[in-house]
Amino acid sequence: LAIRKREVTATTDPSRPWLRRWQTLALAGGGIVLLYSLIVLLAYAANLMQFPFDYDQGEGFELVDTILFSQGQWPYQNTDFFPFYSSNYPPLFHLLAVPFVWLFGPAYWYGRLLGLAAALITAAIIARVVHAEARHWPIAVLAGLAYLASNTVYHISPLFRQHVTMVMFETLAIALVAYGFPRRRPWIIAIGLGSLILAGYTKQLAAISAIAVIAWMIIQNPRRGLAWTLVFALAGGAIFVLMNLATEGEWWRQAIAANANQINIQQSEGLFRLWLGLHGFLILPAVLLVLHQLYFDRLSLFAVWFCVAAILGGVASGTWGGGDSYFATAISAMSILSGIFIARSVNGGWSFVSNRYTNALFRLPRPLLSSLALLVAVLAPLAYLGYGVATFHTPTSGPFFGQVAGLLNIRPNVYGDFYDSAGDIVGGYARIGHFVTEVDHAAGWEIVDHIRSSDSPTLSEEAGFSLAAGRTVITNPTQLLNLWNAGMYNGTELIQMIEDQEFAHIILRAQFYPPDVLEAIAANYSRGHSIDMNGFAYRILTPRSVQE
Amino acid sequence: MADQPNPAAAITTRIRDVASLHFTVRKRLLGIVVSILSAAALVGILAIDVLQPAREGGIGPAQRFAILMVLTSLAIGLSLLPLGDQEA
Repeated sequence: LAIRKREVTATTDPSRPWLRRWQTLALAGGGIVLLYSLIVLLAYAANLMQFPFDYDQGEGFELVDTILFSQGQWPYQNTDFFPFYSSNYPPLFHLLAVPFVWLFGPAYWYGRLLGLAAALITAAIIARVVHAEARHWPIAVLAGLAYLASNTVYHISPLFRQHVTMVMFETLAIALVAYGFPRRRPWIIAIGLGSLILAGYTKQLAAISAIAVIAWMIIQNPRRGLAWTLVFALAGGAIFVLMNLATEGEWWRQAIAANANQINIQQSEGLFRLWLGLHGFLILPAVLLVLHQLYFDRLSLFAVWFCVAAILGGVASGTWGGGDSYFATAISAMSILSGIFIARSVNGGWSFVSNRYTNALFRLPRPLLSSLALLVAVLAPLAYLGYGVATFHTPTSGPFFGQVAGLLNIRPNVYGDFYDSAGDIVGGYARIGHFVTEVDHAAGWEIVDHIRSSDSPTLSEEAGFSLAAGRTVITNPTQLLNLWNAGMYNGTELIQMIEDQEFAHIILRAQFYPPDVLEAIAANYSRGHSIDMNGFAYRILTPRSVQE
Repeated sequence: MADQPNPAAAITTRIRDVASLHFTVRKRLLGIVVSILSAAALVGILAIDVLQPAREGGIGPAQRFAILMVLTSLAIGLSLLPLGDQEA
């Protein structure tokens, strides 16, 4: 290994062919584990696409939003009046699914397919960026697979939720701006910032990536950075104003004002620890590359994005309704940075700008520096194997997965026949990842039969049962709770209906209604029986007057 | 007689530099900005207890976390100062 001032070359020299063989072997080991994780993800997606009810609570309301858009209606409505329904999410993901409603009617599978496709596209963008930056296709592919293998990304990808689609637009935006801004390619920058606007109108959390992009552009060149920020703000702001006018202010009230939930810092801290524990093998090289750029090179947009997304996304994960999914953007950035670090370590070509710190570094004894460079070249390719093991998740039964689990002596540790190194992330809500079974399907249809047994309406905490029964979806409980938390909820009409016992059944799961609604339910409805589906007990309540 | 330095002209030239299409923020300037923002944030976090004396419990976990973050950020900002005119 040759080390010179201003440039460290960690390439294999002819006298060390063993190093190249070792690197190939280590990368292949990581590749096998990450490919297995991809197979598990595809099987999970196929399993969920056949399930016609909510798997993750809230999926059904995303479907309702899509149905409303397909009928030319806004889902941002006044929740004070029947059917007390509103969405709290931006429209883009639902708009992407609208053609499927026209073609196939209401169903969950296409939303889950869109989520999976977004995750796969994100992985492809990550691979392309790593290859462009470090010229090593096998590592570029591993970087993309690493994103998909993350427990967090695995959990949420094949869901009828918008989060991974937001990350896809964010990653595309970052890749384009990082390429176009230094080269002064206005169309590429415009498309990049357009993608960022699309990300923001997929989910509000993309504001974090916007902060990173704006900060980096201003660092690169304040004049051009501010000019592009102005264009970006005008374009994004114009859409915002038009939507607010079209919804008579409900867009602002429901999707922005009611969505500002308080942060539970203990939840943030717990999720930070979990993120570090699961992704540490790739967080470390990502952080090392950030430090290298900070002190020995120029800061890339990827580095700024990673820091901003990890810190702000991590803190925001402690909000009510947050959770481990808020780290998905940081995981995308981590996959890019770690891929570049590992590829450079394998390829060589580390360079250090001459400055005070570089001079101090290169005053260290030459054998020590050589050993350090060799250590990096030996250990870096092992990161994917370590990461693959740390994030490992697999079904433990079935013809193929059962054999693998048996061979590796892996036992289920979460609900169902499933092993997940993340465990049950109950504090962050993500108790998902396992496969659904025929028993879950049957339980869902049993609940639907209850709804169909009466002509009167049912108040269901999840929309899927009402949709399957062909009934009107009444309320979006989490949004009512958002409004209540923000002091913006007026539940008079809904509470009156509950007190008048107008609902034939009330179906509860997590009881995410405002407290006064829950009090009215407790006073006027009593528990009939419970049906277990997907590891959760669904309580079917009936009016007290009927029972008496 | 040698020309006297003109402070107004120097400031105008500096503003022109910063507003040019070729200006890039340097490590030293980035370090100064990060240090100032971090110090201001630190003062703000500590001032919460002064401005809201009725608030009980002293420095809570959220404040502790925020203080840790801004101290880290301050250290990074200060460590960039010796890098001078290197492009950020």
